[in-house]
Amino acid sequence: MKRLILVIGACALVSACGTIRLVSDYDEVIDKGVAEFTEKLGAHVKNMGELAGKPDGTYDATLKTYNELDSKLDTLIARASNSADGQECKLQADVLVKIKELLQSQSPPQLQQGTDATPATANACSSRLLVLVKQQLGDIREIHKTADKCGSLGISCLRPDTAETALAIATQSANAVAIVEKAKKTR
Amino acid sequence: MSVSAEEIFTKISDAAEGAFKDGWSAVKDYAPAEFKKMALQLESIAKNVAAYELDNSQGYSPATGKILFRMQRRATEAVLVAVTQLTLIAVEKALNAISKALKEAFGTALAAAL
Repeated sequence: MKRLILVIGACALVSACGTIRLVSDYDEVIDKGVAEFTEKLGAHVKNMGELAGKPDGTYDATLKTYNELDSKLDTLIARASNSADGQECKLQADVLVKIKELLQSQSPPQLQQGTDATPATANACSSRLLVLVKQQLGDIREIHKTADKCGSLGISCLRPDTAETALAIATQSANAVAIVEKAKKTR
Repeated sequence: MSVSAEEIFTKISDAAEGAFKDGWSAVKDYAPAEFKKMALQLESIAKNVAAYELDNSQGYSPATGKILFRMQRRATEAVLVAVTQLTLIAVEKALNAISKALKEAFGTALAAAL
């Protein structure tokens, strides 16, 4: 009788032990989309650094490229958000505390504490990572449009030193998306 | 044929250790490298703003520096969110390795009982 109870218990346990998913599946569209975005952003920012002070390097002359890059990210964000099923990006409590300390009043409400990780909350984190990349593109646009000035006429530009720093920082965020997708792919 | 708790424990421990090591190495390689980049980028912002204040044809203005600093804060958030995701992937790998070891162990138990 004891053996029979053990067998029934074991059957129940084994049947409950399906593959566990805490993180969403690899998404080739997001992986490739971010790679293309990073390549295009890199070329654009390097070109702007070299064209600083020339008519081709002004904000107005390159407005279309910013819009194209922005639209590309919007598509990827919509894809990740749809898969998030209305969930928020949930982080471990100590990580969230560090982020809130760092961001202070700018801490995003989309980040929440939680141990109940699911593929939907992971997709919300993918969406959040893409939103950060989009916000950084907006930051570069703002510098190009208003903060950086070149030449005696003070025309809009992206100074070479600005281009170098901005690209390094923006690439760091885009790589965060890429490294998570790569880890999902190889699990 | 008997099933030993010690044997199951060893199987589970080995499975979890192997799987978690593999996933955790991704976090260990990624995080310090990104923190180093952050430090270098913040140093670069300070140096370029200082250069501009000495000669405004060099570096970039404090206004630009402020926006770049904001960009760096966003990048820091991105790195921390990515680290959390990589950690979850490592945990997921370990849980699935344990699950597989349990299936194998109880598969043996069921065969012995029946």
